[in-house]
Amino acid sequence: MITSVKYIRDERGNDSVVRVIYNNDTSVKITVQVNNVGNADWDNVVQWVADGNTIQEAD
Amino acid sequence: MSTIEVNKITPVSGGTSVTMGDSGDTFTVTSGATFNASSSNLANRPNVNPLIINGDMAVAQRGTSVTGITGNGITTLDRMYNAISGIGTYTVAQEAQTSGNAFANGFANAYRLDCTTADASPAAADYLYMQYNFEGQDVQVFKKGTANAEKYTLAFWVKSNKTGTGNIQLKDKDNSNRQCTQSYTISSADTWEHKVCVFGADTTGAMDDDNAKSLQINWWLGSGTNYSSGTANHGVWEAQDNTKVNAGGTLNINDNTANDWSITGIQLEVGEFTSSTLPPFQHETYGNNLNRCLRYFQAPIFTSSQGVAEEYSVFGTGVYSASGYFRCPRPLPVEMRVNPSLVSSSGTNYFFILSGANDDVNDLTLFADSNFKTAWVYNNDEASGTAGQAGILMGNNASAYAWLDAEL
Repeated sequence: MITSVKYIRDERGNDSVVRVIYNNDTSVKITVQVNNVGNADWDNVVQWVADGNTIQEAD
Repeated sequence: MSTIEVNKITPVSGGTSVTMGDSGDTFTVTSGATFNASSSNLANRPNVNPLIINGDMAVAQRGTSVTGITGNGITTLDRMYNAISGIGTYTVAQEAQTSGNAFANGFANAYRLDCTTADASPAAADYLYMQYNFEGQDVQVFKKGTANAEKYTLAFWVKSNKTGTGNIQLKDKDNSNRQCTQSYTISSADTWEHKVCVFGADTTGAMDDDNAKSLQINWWLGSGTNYSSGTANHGVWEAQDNTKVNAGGTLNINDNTANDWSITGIQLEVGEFTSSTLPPFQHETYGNNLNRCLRYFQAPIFTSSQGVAEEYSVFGTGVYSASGYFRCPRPLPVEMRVNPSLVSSSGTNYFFILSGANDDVNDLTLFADSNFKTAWVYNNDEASGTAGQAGILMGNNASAYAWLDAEL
């Protein structure tokens, strides 16, 4: 279960990747491209947002 | 050349087999002629590779044993997904075989699930099953949703300390989760048994011809009443009805820490077969098997638990695109199903960039330019090299890993 998602700003200034944290487990770093349809992690994020959650802004 | 015209060839009196030719002989079916083998072991074999990838449980890129599992995911054996929610704690391992019926039939490895914290009274919505997922483009051969739809025969070796009835569910993810269930019986405890289960043909709902999840196989091992309160309708495709998928199931691997369940030699065949007519399992070389698994998962930097010298496995050669910003591509040896996620560990000096700067870095992040043919990662936290320097990115700790995940 996703517990948080946060945008990561790249060298070009784009928020094109997110970090996904499952079950509060921060020992694993999972990063996935935004709008990567078909990728299981991104699809999970889409569902998580549809359930009323919000992706955190990048630092 | 002489011609023999007969209607039937049968074994001599009392015999059960007929031999054709000798080693090295070739039999040719003339162009335009039909070789109808619909009830033999040759029927409808779709290709030279088995439909199920890693059905012999040989490939375990993530590691061979993981403890403390309470949730969903693939933890050890490639392609084999644990579906676990609220129903105890488990160890999942690649179990080496050295004896028993499965071993005697050529299976040196199995998927094994051990209950380590029991839950004998699961809540209604709790579940426990093992899952395998197919891309839609890999199951078009079943012609689902057409008048020529094929039946499905699923065969496997299974072993458990528990005897009783296990349920299997086929689920069509493209058509509102249409389902078809079947059951099997474990007759003897702690004994490898071979099961052959037939599922009906479905003339409703074609599966999409794409790289997304279409057909799912779920081996139910325990559940709450949400999944068992209905009446099973085995062998028949129907609309989704969760109450039927584990109806009558008695394995309940979740109810005692003494419980375990193992499986190997999984094969899915097109059409209906019995234990007598089932085509032989299509054993692959380890290399061929691994190569097919790489479409879904790759482990460029791996840990000591993955069985090889852990440190200094290399992700690739990159460049400091700006001062303090190291970017590294990895051309992938096998095209992945979709753009992968980067799944990596994080810890002090877990990774190393061999360069003029010789940077120790703590973690990696996927770079936006990644795709299914080339993965890119970067570090701009600890990296200190100057723009234009080249460097080799590698592991630097026994616990460091960087995986690329494109699983269904």
